[in-house]
Amino acid sequence: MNFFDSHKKYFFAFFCVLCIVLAGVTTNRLAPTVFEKTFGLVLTPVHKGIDIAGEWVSKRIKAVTNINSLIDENMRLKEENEKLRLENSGIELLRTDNARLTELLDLSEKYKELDTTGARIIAKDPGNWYDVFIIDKGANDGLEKNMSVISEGGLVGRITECGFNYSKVVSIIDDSDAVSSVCLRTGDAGYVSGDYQNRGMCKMELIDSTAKISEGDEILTSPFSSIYPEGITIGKVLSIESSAETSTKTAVIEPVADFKHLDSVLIITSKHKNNNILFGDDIGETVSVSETEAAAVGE
Amino acid sequence: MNKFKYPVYFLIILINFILQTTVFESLSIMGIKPNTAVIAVVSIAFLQGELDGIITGLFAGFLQDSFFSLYIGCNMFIYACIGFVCGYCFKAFYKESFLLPLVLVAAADLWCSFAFFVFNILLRGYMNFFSFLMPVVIPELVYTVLVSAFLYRFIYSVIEMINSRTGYRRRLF
Repeated sequence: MNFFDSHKKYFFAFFCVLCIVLAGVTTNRLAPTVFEKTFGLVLTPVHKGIDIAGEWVSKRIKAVTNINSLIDENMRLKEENEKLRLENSGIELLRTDNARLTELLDLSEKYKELDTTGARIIAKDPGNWYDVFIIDKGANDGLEKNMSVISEGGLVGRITECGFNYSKVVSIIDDSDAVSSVCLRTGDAGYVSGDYQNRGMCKMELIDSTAKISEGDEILTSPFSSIYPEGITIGKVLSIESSAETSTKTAVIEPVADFKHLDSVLIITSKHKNNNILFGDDIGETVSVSETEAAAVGE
Repeated sequence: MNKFKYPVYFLIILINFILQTTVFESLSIMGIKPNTAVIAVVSIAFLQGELDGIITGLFAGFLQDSFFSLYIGCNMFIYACIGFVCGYCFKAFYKESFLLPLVLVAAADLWCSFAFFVFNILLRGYMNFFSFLMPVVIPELVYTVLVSAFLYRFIYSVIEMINSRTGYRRRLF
């Protein structure tokens, strides 16, 4: 120990070099390393336990404080339930009709139903920069890298790493990822990624300058995305800016999923095969495009 | 030398990490959470010296990196630096000072934000650090310093307990 005490600076320098080497080795790793998996294996049950305990406590508190509003809500929901039941019987008819007609037209491939599995969010990124979270299912439950994560009908993000019993999800409000997307009304394409200037919002970049996209338009995942299934709602356009330098438009998008109160999510487990990949990999494409863009600005 | 102390550091960091990723989520004000890992590393480094600071910092950084980062090493480096620099104040200042740990925590948190910006965001093409000052960096700094006023006292008493077990006692005069 005396040796370390007298060579603190070298000790420190050694660790700095070690960090840099580790960063270089792990930058483009395909799967989490053994250390991470082991830590995850041990910590996930702890995380889960605390999460469940926390939810139990907050539920008890809410039950006491909100009892009046709960009775009202219950009445309202019962009414709604009746209404929906009525509608449902009509829909059943339409469904059988639809199945018969799609069989006739051979359309079954296109609108395949997506298999989903539910998961709880057990830990969130402690920092204020990124929006990464950990869910309580992993490779043991059949999850894989790049599966899409949705909640309340809106896109949340994708799985970037799978441990044995946990997975890491990068959300769409995180700047480090981009989603190839399309405007429902006009069909304009662009890339959605997180927006640092407005926390909790997304921005859609590289929209064509002649696009007729306007405020309130709905944004969906693009059919050309190689990661996300097509047609998942991302959000609504809040405002649009056009940039003269790059002759593109940028739209600020309010995501449908409520990221502030997210506690459980759905993971789309069915594989979606895309044969007509035009834009290639989502992320690779944005990187190359933004590089060329940067070069153009530099000139 | 006290062999008992390293498990205690690891335990402090581990418990802090688990709480930080689960329960402290509900402490967030306008989406800003206090960075309690910085407080733990600064406190341990300030109370025990550079070496302990570096080791605690590396562990705290590794935990964050392995769960939430794109690669391992960034947070490890940031927290090891905090441990090393705050450890330098170990010899020079009274540990009972109320204000100095707060100043150290503020500086460490600023460094943490700045280094994180450089390693993760600057390298992806955003140049303007000042546009992040008001929305993220300053609120986090203020919140962290406020929390550290309480947390430093707590870690101080834990460390005091370890030191009293081995007979080594810090004297005020």
